[in-house]
Amino acid sequence: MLARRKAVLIATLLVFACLLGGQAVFAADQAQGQKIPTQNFLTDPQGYSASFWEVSQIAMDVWNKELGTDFKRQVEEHDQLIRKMFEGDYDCGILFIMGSPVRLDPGFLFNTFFYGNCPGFYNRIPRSQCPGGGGALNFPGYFNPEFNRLLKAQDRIFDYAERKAITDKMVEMIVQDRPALVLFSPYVLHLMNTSHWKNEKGMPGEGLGSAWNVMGIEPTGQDKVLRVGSTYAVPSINPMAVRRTQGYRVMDLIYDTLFRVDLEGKAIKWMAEEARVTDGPQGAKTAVEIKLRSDLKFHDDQPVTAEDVIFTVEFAKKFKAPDLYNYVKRVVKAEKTGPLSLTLHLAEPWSGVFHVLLSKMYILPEHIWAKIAETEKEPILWPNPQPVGSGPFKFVSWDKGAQLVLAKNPAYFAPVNPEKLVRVKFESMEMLAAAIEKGEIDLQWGEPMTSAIAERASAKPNVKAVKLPNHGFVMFTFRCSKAPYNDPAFMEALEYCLPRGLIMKRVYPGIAQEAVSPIPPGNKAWHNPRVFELARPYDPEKGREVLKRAGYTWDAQGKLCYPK
Amino acid sequence: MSARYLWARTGVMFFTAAALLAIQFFLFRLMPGDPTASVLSGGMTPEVQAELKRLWGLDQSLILQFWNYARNLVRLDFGVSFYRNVPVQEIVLPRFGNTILFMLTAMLWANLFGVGLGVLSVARRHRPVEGLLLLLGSVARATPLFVTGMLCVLIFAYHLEWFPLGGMHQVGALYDSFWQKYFNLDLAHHLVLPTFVAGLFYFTTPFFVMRASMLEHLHDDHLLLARAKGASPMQVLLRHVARNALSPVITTTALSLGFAVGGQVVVETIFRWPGLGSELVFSTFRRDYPVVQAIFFLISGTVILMNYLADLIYLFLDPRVRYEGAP
Repeated sequence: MLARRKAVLIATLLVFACLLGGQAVFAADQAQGQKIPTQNFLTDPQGYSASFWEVSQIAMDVWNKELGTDFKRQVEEHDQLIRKMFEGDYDCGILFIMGSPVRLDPGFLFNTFFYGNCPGFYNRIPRSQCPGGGGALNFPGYFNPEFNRLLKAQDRIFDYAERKAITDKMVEMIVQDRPALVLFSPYVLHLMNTSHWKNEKGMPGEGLGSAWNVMGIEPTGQDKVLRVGSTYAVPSINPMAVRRTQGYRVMDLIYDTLFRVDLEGKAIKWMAEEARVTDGPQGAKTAVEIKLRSDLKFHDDQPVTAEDVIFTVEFAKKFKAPDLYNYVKRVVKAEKTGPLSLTLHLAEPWSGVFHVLLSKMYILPEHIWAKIAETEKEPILWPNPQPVGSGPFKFVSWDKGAQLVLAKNPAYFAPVNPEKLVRVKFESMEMLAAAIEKGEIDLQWGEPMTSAIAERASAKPNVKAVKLPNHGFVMFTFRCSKAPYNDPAFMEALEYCLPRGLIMKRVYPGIAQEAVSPIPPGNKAWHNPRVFELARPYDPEKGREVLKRAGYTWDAQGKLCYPK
Repeated sequence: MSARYLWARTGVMFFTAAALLAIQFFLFRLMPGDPTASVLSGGMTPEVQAELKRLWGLDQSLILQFWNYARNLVRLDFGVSFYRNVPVQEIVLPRFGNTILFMLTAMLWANLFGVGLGVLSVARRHRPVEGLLLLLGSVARATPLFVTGMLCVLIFAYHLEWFPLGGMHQVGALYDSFWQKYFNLDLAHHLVLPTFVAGLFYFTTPFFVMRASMLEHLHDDHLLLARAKGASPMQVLLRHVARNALSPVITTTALSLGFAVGGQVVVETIFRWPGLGSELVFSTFRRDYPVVQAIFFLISGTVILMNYLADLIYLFLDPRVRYEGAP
């Protein structure tokens, strides 16, 4: 009996010792009562984004003034900024999460940006110490076991209402845990010249750059050449090597996918005539049965068959297609069940299979790519000089960095209005706007137009500024495993002192939509309006009260100090 | 010109090129930041990141990367673009041709006008024309290219609509052959404004050099003989002064041609001219090292080659010139 008591006592002491040890580690960078050291606020150079520069300056000024913090700007070139955040080598910073179609899916969004399977998860350095890893772009290093549980649960649910209820809970968690503070969602502002084209079809996040608009925009007269301009260059025309949003825009036209994300943001059947999820050898709801349309043809008149789809899955897995591999590896086996039908066997149920994988996987013609897989040393690096897809447009020419020309695919199963598409690269927004004004270019793709230029240009006859909602958002991200961001009170105070209204009024007047969560109102299908009640309104007094209650103090110079 | 000098000068040229090659390669890699940041997206799994690093040879040591780079360069293989996934030569060689076309046109008129106006300014010394020409030269030289470029676009392309806003051909124009692509009125129309802007800047060098050189020769003894033989003042000026004054102009032209190939970043960017300059800006921002290295190699190679040619031409044109060590 005595021995048992001793054992319990020792165990209790050990637990306390561990806790104290943990506390010591936790407090290593949070010296009690000491002034909170200078926090580096990571931003892009001013030339890269003058508006983000201004937004971060406003927030830092208000925080430093109202809370006594010492935020200072740390400027990094964009790729390096991303890399630093990616590795957790930062305090806090500003980021724009662009609204690509795939990010409309909450499972994809959360798995990428907020899933972390251990405290302080960062993609590279501690991955080995973090079983299960985490979201590839979990910049804050967010870790919440309950959030992870819900995320896994919604990943396996195919019913929209059920998924929405869980998604709503997860969004609320993020708003209340504050690993990042979402500031607003900028509208996508694109210019178009209405002389030759009308009835444009805008898409959340994509603006006028979606395949829906390119296929469906209507000519006003006989001129059926659609001339689009963008400040982004076409990165690659190899559908397996494509890694960037601007690359997908072109690939969406040359190649086709089993599903496409529609203008409302939902994945709809496209090359697939039928698709359903059934039980399979891997378990319940792990088999995706697909039947292809019978009128599909590649640009060289070869029919699209189930073998082409299976080949594409296997090619992407074997050669580790950069963007696709993460998703296609969930397909354990692809099995042909008929000339036009097949079954994809998933390792586990995955509700994002249609939106994330099948809307993103361009179907390759096996009769071309099988040879490439055999003959090319590195098939992923194959330049694909004459792309042959089954999409709405055929490839004509690519003058790299200057102009890409596509021609209508007359055998395409859906209506395509333009006879020819010419995509021209511009060096600056001003020159692009001037070309649209002069009618040299019909409409804009990609990077949104700045509001001042759009306002001036749209005053001209035949020029129209199209303002479309976005599901992309601008956020401040915080390394939330590190003091002081690991303290909920500090984060709550920061939000109380975040002048979202002032920022929108001064920097984004009329060109941004209010948003406080990673699923802004632009994502109609998944937005949860209740988050606006949960977010803290601008009230510096309350921010200071929260800090006082949590034990924070201010030194003689008014600088914020950790609780004693 | 001795064969020994020629060999020595050629050797120096190759040594300089090799040294530059090494400097360029390591300089980019010494820049703050990680070159893989542009290649590897955070959204990729570690397996994919490792695979991409392997594909682009970024998993190798710097020395090995340099060795492979230098070895491939001998075969004119510049590697594969990180950003566009195509062989670099497919990107840079057509653009090099476009830049050469643009620069040769600009330099041609810059030199014709520069030399002509230089002669005119000497012929009309102490008259209002001289003052006007000096003012024009000074203003053209002092005005930054982006100012002249933007003003010309605004006035001649945007408001007056005399010329297109930019580019090399009309939007969407397709050509079946090299001949069709480079010998047509559309291209000539697109070429006028950018070459005018570049030429306005570059004409000042031959103008001032020609003028200074002519002023130097204006009191040479042999001119007395020419006058004594009954040559008119204009004949003396053109045949005896201008001719002798041309040597430094030719040298500076050769040198400035080399520099001009690399110096057109601003004009090409403003006029959306698909040349090396605009590509350099684009690829630098994306840290597309294989492309940037290839462009620097072509630019510095042109400068080195032009220096070499200038040295040889100078020796050829003026036999009085001898270099130290040369017989």
